[in-house]
Amino acid sequence: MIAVGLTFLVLLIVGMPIGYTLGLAGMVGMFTIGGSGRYLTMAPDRFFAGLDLFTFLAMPFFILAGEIMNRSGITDRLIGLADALVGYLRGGMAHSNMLASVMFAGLSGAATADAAAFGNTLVPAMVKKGYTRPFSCAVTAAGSIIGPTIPPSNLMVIYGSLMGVSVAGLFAAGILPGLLICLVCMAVIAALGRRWKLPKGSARPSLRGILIAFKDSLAALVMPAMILGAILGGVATPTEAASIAVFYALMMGVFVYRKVSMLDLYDMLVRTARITGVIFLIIASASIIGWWMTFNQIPQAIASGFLTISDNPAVIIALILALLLAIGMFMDINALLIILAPVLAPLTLTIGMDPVHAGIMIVLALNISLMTPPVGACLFVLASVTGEKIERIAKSLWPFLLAQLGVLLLVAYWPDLTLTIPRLFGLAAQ
Amino acid sequence: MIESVRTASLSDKLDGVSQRLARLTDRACVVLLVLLVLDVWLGVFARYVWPLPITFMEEAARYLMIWVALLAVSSCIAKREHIGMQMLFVMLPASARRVLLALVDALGLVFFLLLLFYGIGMVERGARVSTMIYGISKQLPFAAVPVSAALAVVQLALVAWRDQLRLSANRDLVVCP
Repeated sequence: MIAVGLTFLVLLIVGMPIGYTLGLAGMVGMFTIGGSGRYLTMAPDRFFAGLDLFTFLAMPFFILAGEIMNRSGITDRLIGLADALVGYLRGGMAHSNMLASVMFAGLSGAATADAAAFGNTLVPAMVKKGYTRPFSCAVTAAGSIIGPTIPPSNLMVIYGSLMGVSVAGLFAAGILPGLLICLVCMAVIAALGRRWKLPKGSARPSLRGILIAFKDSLAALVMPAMILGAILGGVATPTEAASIAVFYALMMGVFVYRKVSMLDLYDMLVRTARITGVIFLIIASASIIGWWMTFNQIPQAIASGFLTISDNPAVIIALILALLLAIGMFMDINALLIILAPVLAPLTLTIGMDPVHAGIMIVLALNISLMTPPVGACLFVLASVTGEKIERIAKSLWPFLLAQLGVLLLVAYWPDLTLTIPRLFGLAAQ
Repeated sequence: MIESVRTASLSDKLDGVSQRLARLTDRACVVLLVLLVLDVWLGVFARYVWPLPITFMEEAARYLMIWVALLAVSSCIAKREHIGMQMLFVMLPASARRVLLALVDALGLVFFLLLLFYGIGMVERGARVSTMIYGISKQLPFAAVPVSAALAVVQLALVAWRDQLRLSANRDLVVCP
C-alpha cells in the first residue's frame, strides 16, 4: 500500500501526466498483490471496462455541440442580450458577463470553455470601457464556474456514470445552485460598484432593443431548454439529448448563421476527440487504481477514518468540503473527481445524504477550486488568453470566491436547495 | 556550430514524423467520431421518428467512443496536451528539469508498453468472448487498447527524443511533461 501511495504522490509531484500516474500506480498495486505480478494481466481489462459505459457518450457530444455553437458566433449574441438586460447598471459589463455566463452554461459543459470564450471577447471589451484587466478576468473566472454547475455538465456526466447516480437528477439539481452563484456574484459586483469605482453602465435600452437582442440569441437559448426539457421530461436520455444538441447546433451553425464550414467542422471534431482523449485516459487509468483500491478496501478504510474523527454528519460534510477544496487547489478537477468520488460517495451515503445532493455538493466544491490558485484551470486559461498575471487576477477574485463559498455551504447544509427541482421531476427521493 | 545545426535538423525531422502521425491519427478519430454521431442519430431516429428493428446502435456507439478516445490519446502526446501537476516542475533549475523530463517520459513509455504487452493478451482472450447484443467477437473493441498503446509508445518516444534535442540546444527552453 505504501509503495502505491508513494508511486502516485512522487509521480504526481514531479509533473507526470495524471493519466499515466494513475495507471502506473495502479499497475504497481496490482504487481504487489501476491508478489507474482499475475494480476497485471487485468490492467488492460480494467482500463477498457472503465470506459465501457453508454452514459459517457454524452460528454463528447456536449463538447462538440458547445464547440459548434461557439464557432457560430453565438457568444457575441448572448453577450448582446445580457448587455441589453443588465448593461445599464453600474458595473454593467461585469453584470452582463455574469448573466451571459448563465446563458452560455446551457451550451457548454466545461468552465474552461466559458473562460476561453469570454476571456477573448468580454475581457478586452471591459478593459476598453474602463474596468481594470485583473477585475475583468476575476469576473470572468467567477462566472465561468457557472458553466459546469448549470446543465449540461461534463463533471455531472462523469460523476453520475461512475457512481450510478441519475445524470438527469444531477442536471436538475444543478440549476438552482448555478443561478444562485450568478445572483450572489452580481450582488458582489453591485456592492463593489462604488467602492472600486466601477464604470457606469450604458444607456437603458428600449423594449424594442431588448426584443431584438432576444430574437438574435433565440437559437442559442432554445438549445439548453430543449436539452433540459427532453432529459427532465423523461423523453430522452442525456446521451440522446446530447446527440440532438449536436444536430441542432450543426443546423444552426451551417444553415442559419452560416458560420461553420466543413474545414471548421473538421477542426471541431479533432478538438472534441482530443479533449475526450485527455479526460478518458484519466478515467481509464483511474479504473486500474480503482480496482486495486477496491481489492484492498481502501474506500471503506478512508470512510471509517473520517468517522473516527466524528460521526456528526455536519462535521463529516465540512471535512469532505475542506478536503476537496484543498486538493482542488493543486490538481485537475476531472482527475480529482474520478479518484475521490468512489471514496467520498460511500461516506456521504453513510451519513444519510441523498446521492444527488452529495453529487452536486462534490461537483460544486470542485468547480470552485477551478478558480483558486495555484492550479485553478480557469485562472490559467484567462492568464494565457489575456496576458494578465495569475497573482493579480487572484487579488481581485477573493470577494467572488467568498460569495461562492457561501453558496457551497448553503448547497451542502440545505438539501432542499438542490433537491427541489429533481423531486418535482421524480428524480430524487422525497 | 555544425553539431547544433545537426541537432536542430534532427529534432525538426522527429517533430515532422510526430506531427504526421498525429494528423493521421486525428483523421482516423474524425472518421470514427462521424460514424459515432451518425450511429447515435440513427438510434434516436429509430426510437422517436421511425421505429426500425435495429439493435446494434448502443453497443456500436460505446465501442466507437472507446476507439476515438483511446486513439486521440496518442495525438495529444504529440503536443503534450495530457494534464499534469507542473507547479513544482517549472520551479526546478533547467538541468534538473531536463533529467526529470527524460525520467517522466521513460516511465510513461513503461506504462504504455505494459498496456501494449498485456493488451495483446486481452485481445487474444477476447476471441472467446462475444459482445452482449450483436454477438461479435470482443477482439475488435478490445484491440483499441493495444493499438492505441502502440501509437502512444511511438509518439512518446518521438516527442521525448525531440524535446531532449531541443533542450540540449536551448537550455532556457521550458518543456513540461
